[in-house]
Amino acid sequence: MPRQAIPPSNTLLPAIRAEQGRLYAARLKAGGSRAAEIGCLPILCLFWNGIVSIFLLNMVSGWQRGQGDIILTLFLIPFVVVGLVLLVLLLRSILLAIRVRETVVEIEKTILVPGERVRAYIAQHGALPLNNFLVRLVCEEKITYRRGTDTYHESNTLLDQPLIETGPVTTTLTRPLEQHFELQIPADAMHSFEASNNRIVWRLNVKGEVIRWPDFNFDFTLCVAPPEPQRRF
Amino acid sequence: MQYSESFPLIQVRLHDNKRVYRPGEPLAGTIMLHGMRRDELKSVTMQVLWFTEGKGDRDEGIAYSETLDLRGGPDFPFSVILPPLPLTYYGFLLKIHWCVRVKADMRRGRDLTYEEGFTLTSGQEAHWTEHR
Repeated sequence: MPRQAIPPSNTLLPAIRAEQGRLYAARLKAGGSRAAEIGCLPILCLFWNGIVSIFLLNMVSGWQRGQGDIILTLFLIPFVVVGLVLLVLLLRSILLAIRVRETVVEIEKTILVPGERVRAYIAQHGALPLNNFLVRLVCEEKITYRRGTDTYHESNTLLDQPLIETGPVTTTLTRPLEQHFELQIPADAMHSFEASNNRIVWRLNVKGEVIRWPDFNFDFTLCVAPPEPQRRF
Repeated sequence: MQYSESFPLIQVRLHDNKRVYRPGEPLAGTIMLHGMRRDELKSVTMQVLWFTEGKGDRDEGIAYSETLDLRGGPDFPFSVILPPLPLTYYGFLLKIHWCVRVKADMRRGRDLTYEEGFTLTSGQEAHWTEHR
């Protein structure tokens, strides 16, 4: 009598962030980058620029007194540049948060199987003059490795398939951009795989190029399970 | 039990010399211990496991583990139903392999380990899982 191996390793598949959809079974939630940006950037910006400003004030008052310190001035330049970059990123995330609402993505099933077609819906709300709105199906290998005390990350794209590309389009508060589409993971594709250092990630990437405004970019992780075994090879 | 008196050796023979399996299928075979007396062995463990290979740090998952009853033998038949995932994968940055690993914990001297690889496939993901 064959012994059963430890039951399905569901921990090797990604946990999908989703809630009940209106049109289809699941409404996917975008990866946490936006919430992290809004939450962490102001703190980081305040912390960095707060410390740099103490030295900056000291340096400026030195120059005003005619006792400018050239070494301190040169030393502070990179720190000021980093502070300015943080300010620009903060401004960008505030502008995006004000005007761009998270893209709505709904799919029929949360667990996809290679070869199977599932219906999906995408909507972009808000008043946006878009130069382009692009939805892509992406599959990547992602790895992590350590050399000494440093940790490195690398990725390799296996599939990058455009699903929707609108070209110039304008959405209004009452008329969002909406599209129904079919999603099909290639029949011969590898399933999602999530281990500590090695991952195969399937995601829907939504990129919007907004005219005279920062572009937005959302990732929606998909869970692709192995296909049912074929009866014969 | 009769063990051979030659140098110590572990062998794993998969039934019908099969190397390709589907999820849910039984992986059956025989573990053979050669050149080891029972009193030299502390324990022998058999595991069915997957592991990654490539640029990333190694990950490993044990699907089945059993300590062999040494009163039998020297041949130990086994049969294990394989889990649904992960499937064997040969990618660019990472590979996923499956194997049967047998580890003999010796009372004296170096422990012996033997791994017999096999492929776990649904039979569909031919392009990305063929041996490169």
